[in-house]
Amino acid sequence: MSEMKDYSGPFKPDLKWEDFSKDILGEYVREVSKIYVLMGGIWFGYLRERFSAQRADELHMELWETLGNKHEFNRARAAMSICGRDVESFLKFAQIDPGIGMIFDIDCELKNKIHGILTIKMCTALSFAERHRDTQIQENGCGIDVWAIPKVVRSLHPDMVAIPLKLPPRRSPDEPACIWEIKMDPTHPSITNPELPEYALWRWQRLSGTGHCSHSQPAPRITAIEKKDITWKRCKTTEGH
Amino acid sequence: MEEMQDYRGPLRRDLHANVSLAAFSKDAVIRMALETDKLLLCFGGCWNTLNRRIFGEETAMDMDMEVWLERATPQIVARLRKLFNIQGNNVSSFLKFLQIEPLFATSVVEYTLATDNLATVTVHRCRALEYFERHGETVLQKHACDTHASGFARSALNFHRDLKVRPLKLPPRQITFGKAGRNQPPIACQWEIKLAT
Repeated sequence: MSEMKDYSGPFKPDLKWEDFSKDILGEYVREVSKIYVLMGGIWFGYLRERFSAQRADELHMELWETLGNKHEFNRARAAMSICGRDVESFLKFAQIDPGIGMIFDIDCELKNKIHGILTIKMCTALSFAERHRDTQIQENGCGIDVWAIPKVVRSLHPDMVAIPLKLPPRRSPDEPACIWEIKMDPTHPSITNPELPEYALWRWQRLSGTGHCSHSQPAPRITAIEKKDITWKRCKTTEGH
Repeated sequence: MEEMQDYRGPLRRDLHANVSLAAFSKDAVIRMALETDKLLLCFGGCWNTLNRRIFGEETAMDMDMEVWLERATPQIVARLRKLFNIQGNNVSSFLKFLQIEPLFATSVVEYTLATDNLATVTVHRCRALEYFERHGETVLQKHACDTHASGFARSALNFHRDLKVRPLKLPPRQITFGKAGRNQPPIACQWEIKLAT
């Protein structure tokens, strides 16, 4: 029996994924990935209406700490057997990640084994925020990435860093949404770049629980921050929250 | 070029949004589809866990109802119907949608179309229910099944205002143990789909 290119034909009680063509299955993965990102926007909009933009922001940050760093980062890598802990492995993950490469137009350049560039040329979330002139949703989404991307990169390898070379806002839709340098650099003092925009700096400081991220004072290494996070979580557990 | 079974090999710079999955084998794409479906389920679970911890059971339930039922379901139904070109507003069209809907797609489900206007949907294995049973999460199980029951009925209304969904059996279920360990568990849930004419 030939493969189905859609499901316009009769109902098949014993339908299997294998009955569909690879093209439609690929489109399905992209569509569910879009729904995944869309749901983030729906939740943010709802919480902003019900509480406030700041509360929505706080809750979102807390959510993505678990969802992004645990589930999103690990599921796609496991499905595609991306097992390495180097720059190349991170770029491969970015290409198939439902939250990045599966829906955005990106370019991954591996300059050498320890140095790569991730360029997000077109980001539908940023385009949405720009179209609706919704600065809050842009700052929330980008603020999460500025925290989450360096964090997952460093969780792959303690010497690997992700440095944003360019971040929104942008002057024209022709510009890339953001550009990241991914490299092995044991000497890099922090997960952040001192040139971060204000919205990103503020979130980083709050999430890391430090006030050390400033232009004049280098931030502490992530290892110290992570230890603090762990201690904080243990305290919360002991307190029965 | 030969299709890739997974992504163990070197980085391929030519993989990007529109072509990335074409380079992989069909099996790999199906694996990716299931993982993306599960990720969407995790998304719901993580929000619910966070909201229950911060706002309590009742408010978390209200929030789920508002977000998933009122705001998300119509968009999910419309997007997947369009992608798969599922036309029509009858029982079989609705069943076709359920077969590709992320929660049902990750479950083991039996669809029986009795007549043009009547069908039975039997969920034999539900990942969410198994998680709740494994972790003894009875409150969360009730909450999730309640939300799902309402969401199921709400999805049907996107097809036809007279398309009714009635639960025939719902969790919790009794797990029994025999000499060889745990017996085959009963079905997770069962539903009647009926188009009132």
